[in-house]
Amino acid sequence: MNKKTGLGFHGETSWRCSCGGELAPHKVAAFYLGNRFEIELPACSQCGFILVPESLAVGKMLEVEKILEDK
Amino acid sequence: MERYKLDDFEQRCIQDELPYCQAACPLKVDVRAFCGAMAQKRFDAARKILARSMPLPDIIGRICDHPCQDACILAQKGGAISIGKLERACLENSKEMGMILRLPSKKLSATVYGAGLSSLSCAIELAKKGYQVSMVFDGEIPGGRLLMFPQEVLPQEVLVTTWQNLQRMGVTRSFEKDPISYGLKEGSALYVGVDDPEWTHLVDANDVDPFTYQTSTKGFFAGGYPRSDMPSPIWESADGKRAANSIDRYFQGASLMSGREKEFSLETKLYTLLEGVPTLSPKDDPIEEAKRCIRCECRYCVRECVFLEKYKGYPKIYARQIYNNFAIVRGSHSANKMINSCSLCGLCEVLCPNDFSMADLCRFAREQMVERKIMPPSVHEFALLDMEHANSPRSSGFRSGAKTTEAVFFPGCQLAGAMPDQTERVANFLGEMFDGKMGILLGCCGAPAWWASRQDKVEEVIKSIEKTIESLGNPTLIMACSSCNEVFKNFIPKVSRVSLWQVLLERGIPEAKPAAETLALHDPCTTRHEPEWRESVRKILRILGQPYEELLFGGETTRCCGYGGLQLMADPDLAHEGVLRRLKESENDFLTYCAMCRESLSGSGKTVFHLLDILFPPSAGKVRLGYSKRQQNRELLRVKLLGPCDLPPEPWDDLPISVSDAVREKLEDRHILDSDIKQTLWEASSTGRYLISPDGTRLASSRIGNVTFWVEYREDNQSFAIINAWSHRMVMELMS
Ligand code: SF4
Ligand code: SF4
Ligand code: SF4
Ligand SMILES: [Zn+2]
Repeated sequence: MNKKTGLGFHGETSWRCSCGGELAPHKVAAFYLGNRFEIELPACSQCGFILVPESLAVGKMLEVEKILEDK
Repeated sequence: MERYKLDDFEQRCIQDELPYCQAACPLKVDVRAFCGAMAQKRFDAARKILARSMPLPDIIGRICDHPCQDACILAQKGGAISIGKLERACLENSKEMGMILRLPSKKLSATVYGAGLSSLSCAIELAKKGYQVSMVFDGEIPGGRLLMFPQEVLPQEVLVTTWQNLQRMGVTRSFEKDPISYGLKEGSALYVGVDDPEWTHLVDANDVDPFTYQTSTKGFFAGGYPRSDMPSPIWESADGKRAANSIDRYFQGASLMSGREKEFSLETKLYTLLEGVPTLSPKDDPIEEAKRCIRCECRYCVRECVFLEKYKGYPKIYARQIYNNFAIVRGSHSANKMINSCSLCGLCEVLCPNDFSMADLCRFAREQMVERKIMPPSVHEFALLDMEHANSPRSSGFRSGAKTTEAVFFPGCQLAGAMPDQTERVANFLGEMFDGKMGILLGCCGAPAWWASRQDKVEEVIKSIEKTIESLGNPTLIMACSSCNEVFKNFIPKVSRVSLWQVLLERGIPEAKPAAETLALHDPCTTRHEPEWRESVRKILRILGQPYEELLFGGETTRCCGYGGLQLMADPDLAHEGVLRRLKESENDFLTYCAMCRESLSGSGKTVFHLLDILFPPSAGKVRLGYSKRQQNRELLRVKLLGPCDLPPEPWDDLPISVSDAVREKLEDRHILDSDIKQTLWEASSTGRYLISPDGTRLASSRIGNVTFWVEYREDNQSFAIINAWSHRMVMELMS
């Protein structure tokens, strides 16, 4: 979880990757309008597919996007 | 934003001008707030309001000759508020306020001559400001003529207490009779109150400046001259107070005049609408009388616009906030959302006594935002992409008439999308009327780009339309949509235009059965300045025998459906609130003649007809279609009217998806199109990359333009059942 933005996701996820890999928390860089954050998200340990869960996308992430757009 | 522009806007809004009563009050008592407190029986609070402007509320409140009453606007509605009576009632029902605050003591001293109200007022004002004040008067206590009032009007005790209070504030008594030799040492000043006849001889009335109260001798002030045959307590007090302000400035070496216009002026530019104010005669009971005060203000525009109401201020304040939005160097542009939420409908300008156009202000501010690259990228993007879709070869195009091209039918993208079958029928109907001399032009007029202040995109669209019209030999455009009309009027005024309704009136109206019930007529906001357009529609309704109801806010003062100015994109809740407010204006179902208005006003409990629903009744019911369906409709209509375009279909076009109503609603709110979903599914199946849940649903993701889409779905018998979808704009990258 990025302390400044509250972005990130730690809940359990039951999704598996189509490549056969398991999803586990990974460090991810998130970019928007020239800003960069380091956050933690579930990603496939084999192929690197990153999951952005709905609750995050329509919640905190949307909020941060709007704040950055008004900067 | 340039300063001069801001000033120009700010000056137009007179909402913070004083109410009539307060302007007429020489002491500028806030009568409006006072009446408000009295109406709630908050007597102590009311007294505090009096004390804010009155040097001696206990005296003045009892004997004021209330010029404010003559100015009260309610004289036109049953009778002026009895403000004098209310002040007296306030004093009789409230507690003494105790110690009066005094600024830190200063060395400078003033001598005040006279026992009258002007001298008392001057003395207390100077004492409050911290000066050393001594009073010179005859008799035991000051008061002069005030001592002659009957006991029940002004009890003697009040005057005794007043003198005690003054002394507690450090005012002393002096017996120095020769003011000139005594008063004008360095660091001192003197005031002579000629409302006490004892001291009239000390000054020559012609030697006193009527604004500053200074005589030709520096530091020597005088006031309290009668203004008519009747003595006026309020003016005596005002003279004393104003002179005290002059003396304060004199001591500080400041100009005695500058910046005091508001203190001196008795005029106001306020405009208060009396429409709808009941005529009530004055009440004996002071509380009831206070309730009669209508708290004069303007806010006319604010009361009638959900957007202006939402931000809790009024245009003058908004102009300042918008200016500040551009002035900030760091931090958040907090007015962005406000600027983008105006529907640009122009109602405020029509209502405002000074033609304040919030639409012009917001449009201008949006232009600045785009220019300075601070326009939030997400707010208009979806609408601009929708416009691009409407103008892509899949949805747009033109053809000339079979013989020649006298006229070209331009339905606009919203009619084509929301009512494709009826658009086709109109095109065929007109085609016959024009006997092979009418062409067709499909596409979007560029309104969304104009509303978003994307000058570049407007120009692109307009140029292409202009070129087409030219290539067809400059025929007249038959316009079905008043928003398109507004855009063309603004950008290509030379192109000849006529409304579809006018053409139908001239060439013949189809056989049609009117709806049985009376319908409330909603004029689209882009017909506000198009009386002929509106009249053509009414003529058609009369010919059809369609009963209709004029709304109070119709015609030139009509309201926006919430799509105008892309309000819906910036603040969907606000747009919805506007819709509900509009629909509440009538018990009846609604009738309009703009496809977007029909779409926006539908789905909130009322049936909303388009005029074409009556002229060319649809086969299916009228429901809201949504963005995806409208896009598909435009493509189909293009094929029907102009034939297929030369673009190959997208590989995902034919993917079969099924979407439940509940999911559909979510997709609409989240601005996720069927084409986004299909493209995401197609990419997932061609790359084989997606997530799987234990119960077999899948989750695919794809970056399309500036947005990442997520689609949760289930694949069953050859179709994709869409379970959920969401999106975000941030880009994620795995860190090693
Ligand atoms: S109508 Fe609105 S903009 Fe015009 S003066 Fe009144 S409050 Fe100000
Ligand atoms: S109605 Fe009230 S606010 Fe308006 S002028 Fe009269 S006293 Fe003043
Ligand atoms: S929405 Fe219409 S009435 Fe309201 S401020 Fe904007 S232009 Fe004026
Ligand atoms: Zn994987």
